Amino acid sequence: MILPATQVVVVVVFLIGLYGVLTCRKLIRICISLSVMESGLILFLVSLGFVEGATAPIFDPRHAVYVDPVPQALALTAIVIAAGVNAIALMLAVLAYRHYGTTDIREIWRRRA
Amino acid sequence: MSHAPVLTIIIPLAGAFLITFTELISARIRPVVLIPVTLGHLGAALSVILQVVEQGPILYTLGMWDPPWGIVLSIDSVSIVFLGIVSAGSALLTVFAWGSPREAGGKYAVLRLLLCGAMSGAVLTGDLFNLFVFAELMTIAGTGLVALKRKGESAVAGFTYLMFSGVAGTFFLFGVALLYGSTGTLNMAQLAQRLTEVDPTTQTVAFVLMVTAFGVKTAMVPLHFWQPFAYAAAGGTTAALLSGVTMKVNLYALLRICYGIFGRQAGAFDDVLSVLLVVGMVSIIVGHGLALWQDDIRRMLAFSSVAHVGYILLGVAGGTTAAVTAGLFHAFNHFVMKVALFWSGRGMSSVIGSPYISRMNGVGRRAPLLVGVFFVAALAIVGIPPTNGFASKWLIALSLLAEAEIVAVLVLMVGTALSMMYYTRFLSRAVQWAPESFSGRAVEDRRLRAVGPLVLLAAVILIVGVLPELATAFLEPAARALLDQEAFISNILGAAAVQ
Amino acid sequence: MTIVYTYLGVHLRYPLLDEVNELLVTSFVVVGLLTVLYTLPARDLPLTFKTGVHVVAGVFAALAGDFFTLLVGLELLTFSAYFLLVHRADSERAAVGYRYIGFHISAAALFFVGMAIQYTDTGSLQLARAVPSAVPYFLAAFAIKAVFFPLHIWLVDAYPRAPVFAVPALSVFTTKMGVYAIARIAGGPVVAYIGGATAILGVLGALRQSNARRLLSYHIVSQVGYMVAGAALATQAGIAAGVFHAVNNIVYKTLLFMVAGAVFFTVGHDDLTRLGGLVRRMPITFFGSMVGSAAIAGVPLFAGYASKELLKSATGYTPLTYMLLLAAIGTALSFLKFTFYMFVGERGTTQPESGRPDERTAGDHTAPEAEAAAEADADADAGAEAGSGRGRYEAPWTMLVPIGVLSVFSILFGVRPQLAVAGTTYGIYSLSSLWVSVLPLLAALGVWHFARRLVKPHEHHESALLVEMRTIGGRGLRALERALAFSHQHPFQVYLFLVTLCFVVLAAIAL
Repeated sequence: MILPATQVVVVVVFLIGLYGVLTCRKLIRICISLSVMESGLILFLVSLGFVEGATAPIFDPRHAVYVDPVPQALALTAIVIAAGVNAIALMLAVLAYRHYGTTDIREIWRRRA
Repeated sequence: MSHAPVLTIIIPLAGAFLITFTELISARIRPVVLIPVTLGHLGAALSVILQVVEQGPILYTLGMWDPPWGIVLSIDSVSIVFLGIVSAGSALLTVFAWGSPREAGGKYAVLRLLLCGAMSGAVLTGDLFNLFVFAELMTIAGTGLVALKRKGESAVAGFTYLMFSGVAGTFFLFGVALLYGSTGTLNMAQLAQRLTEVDPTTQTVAFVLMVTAFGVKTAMVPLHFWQPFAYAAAGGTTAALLSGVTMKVNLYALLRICYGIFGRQAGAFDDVLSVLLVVGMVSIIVGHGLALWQDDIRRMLAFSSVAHVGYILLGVAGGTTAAVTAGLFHAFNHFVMKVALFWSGRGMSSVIGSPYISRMNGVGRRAPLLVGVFFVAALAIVGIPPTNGFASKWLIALSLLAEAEIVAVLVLMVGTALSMMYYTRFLSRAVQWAPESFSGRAVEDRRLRAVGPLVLLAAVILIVGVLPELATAFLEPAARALLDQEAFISNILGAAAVQ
Repeated sequence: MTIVYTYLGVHLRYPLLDEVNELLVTSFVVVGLLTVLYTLPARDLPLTFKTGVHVVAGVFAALAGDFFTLLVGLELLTFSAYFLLVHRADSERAAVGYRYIGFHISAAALFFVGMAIQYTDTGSLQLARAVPSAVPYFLAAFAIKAVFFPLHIWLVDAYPRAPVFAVPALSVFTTKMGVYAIARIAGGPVVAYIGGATAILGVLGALRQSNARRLLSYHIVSQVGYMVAGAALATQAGIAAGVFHAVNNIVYKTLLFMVAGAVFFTVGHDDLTRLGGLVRRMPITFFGSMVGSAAIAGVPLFAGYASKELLKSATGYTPLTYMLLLAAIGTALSFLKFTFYMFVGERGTTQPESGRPDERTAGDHTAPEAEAAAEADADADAGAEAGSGRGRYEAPWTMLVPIGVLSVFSILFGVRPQLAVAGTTYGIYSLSSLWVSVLPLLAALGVWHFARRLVKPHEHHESALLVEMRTIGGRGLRALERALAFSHQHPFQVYLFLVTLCFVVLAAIAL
């Protein structure tokens, strides 16, 4: 059911996010990269339930084929959790900025030592 | 149907929610919520445990939706071991935090209850996505606890913790999504049944993603780097919970994934187990080796936790009933010992006014009780008979020798010597007779709320050390249940499903 | 009265008392009580209590009938010794305790592995000879406990620095338990020769010492070498001789440590370069010192002679026997030195250093605030103390009674060795035996007469070997510390990258 193109997009978006988390030097960009990673995942979840020519999973006698509703629920939950994680990460980035005067991760590590 | 299982999750979550409101009114009415919530959680957990011990595994269907359609809580003899650790740890923490000035605040209580609810959920759930949600909730509550001091260092530590757990969480969710894409179910038992339908590559990638994710969360070498930061920034009271309890819950998730969902039918199972065995050995050496140099007592204990994940892995990755029993036994013991160590260390730091070992000269005279508990717990964690730590280490060594893993036994030996060295390094300062001038409170807190949990833990260390059968009586059925995948499936889907 | 219990499915029985350890246990009990009595002049109840715990631990360990209980006993000994060592310690003594634990926890860990292998192979933990695959671990553990050269450094590091009242108790148990364990569990000709070599090297170390307690510590090393030479032979005669020598050694070495302690207590130091002429001041102590020296040197009619004679017949005039004879020369020589420079000497009569004896020793074992109290005491007693500069200043009776009792035993075991080892005949006093045993004594007297400057006490610094080992060890450890600390100093992304890498590697392995 998963289209090959979707798979490619999912993997590419996920890896872009991972690359960002691993290489960005600013705390805010790292947060953004993490949410890019999560976007890739959410895309993946939604695509799992996709059925060609199906409608929304609402009972309606005119339609026989529905998309799988479970992944949509999962995607919603994942979005909520990702939002929570990102909110806390951004809050911590602000705290760190207030204390160290920078969001550059190497600078922060240098000052800690 | 008794509603105790779901109450163990709801009560602390509701308590956390309520306390945010009582704080708005007055900090003084907090106990009105906190005490019933703590007792309620303890009682619910106890009734679940008793029920499982008396009648065997229970299945709780949320909203009466039968599996595999609804989300279920599946409680067997493995879950109750970890549920016991969670509820005992949380209750002790409530008492101990009440006696320590900084952690007595309302925010701390909220986050603590949130963590408690999330952990209870994680050990009870029979649904993989549900496990993901609870794991993320644990991360969020844990980050809050780590960063609660609002200093620069704790913000950075919290950020590090969140990033590691966040990335691990995405790995885990990726694995869950891959499995769902191939089987169309999230129910752990049904997943285990349909695993053969999954093509081997997808299966292996999902398995490895999940193992890596929980490897990060349990802080095994070389995935442990967040952990010393987080524990040092969190302070002894919280670090005890994170190391003693949260780490065990993550370990439970790892074990459930390895043995319950994938099991021997999975292609990568043997590879993963043997890698975990090697990781266990490396963790012991690296963890103890790094703990040897730490001046900050919290960092020292944090690295010791890294090493003890290694001990537990040497047991649970063995794959035989004896080995898994030994590993679970060590997990339980590590909970008791590490909490005692962190809390007595915390007490001593507040006597001295500094967490640095190099300033702890003569603390033994100021805080004899704390140093005494620390000493007993240190003996136990090193594995000196007759303490519980010795009993589990002995069982681990025997199970390793039964598999002719002599190298692992030698690693255990080196670990013993190294760990005694760093506890003695502290002790040699503590017992010195000429104390330097102390800042800080300078006498130990002898109120029951501060000392009671410590004495209780020390007593458990000695009693379980002398009578280890008290613990193994629970743990051997747990090990059997963990290894028996069919029993796991039939508990959730009914006996008819296993054919 | 036997206690039977089950621990994790292992059946254990306690205690075990047979012909191998009954003598050892008896001597542990008797000498242990005397060492506890000996601590009383310190007027330090915690110290006496800790000594008592150490004695109980020693007796408990010697009665063990299985590996598990033996391990418990050895650990109890280690930790009670540790707390004796760091009793009211300054940072230097605390460091000594740290190193002491380092050695003994390594021994315990090795023992643990040996025990696990033994149980896996035999399914039993009854005290018995070790299975071959477990022998290396047991031997390595006992090599530490029984101070095989060069693992003796923990002993000569710790005992001279221990609180002076506690040294006799410390010197009794740990090493003898090592010998006893070798006799019971693992031994062999090679081990016996290592014992012989340790006997010689220990004596050579002792001859270089000028501090009484350091000298005695090196002699423990040497004497334990003798015992190992016998016990490791694993013949009945060898074990009996080794254990008998251990018991004798407990008696006379404790006696000598008590003598050194009594001198330390009354004079204020035990540096042989600054002592002399105490014979008239402390006649009873002097008598004890003579008896102890004669016993350890193996003078006929004293305890050491009897057990060394049994050892010789057990080793059966192999090269091992000659190694032991060689060590005997050094032993005799160093105890001539010990007694001569302490009690006779060339420097006239030693005067006590200023202050009351029990106040002076305060520096060694009393708290700073207790010292202030002692000073106030001293002022009150100043009149009474003023006259004590002349005449006798013998040690108190709580020290003299143990010295006297142990002197009696030192002679008794020489005159009536049957009391200790049944079936010993007076054949040990045959002319040929006497001649062989007197030879080393004569050689020692010769050296003493013609080349005394070789052994004369001199300003002595810590053994170069020890200092070197500590420096090199310290440097190595610091380098390792820097490397390990460096590995954890980078921003977290480096380690997050490692996580990704781990996933890739694990996936590669699993696929």
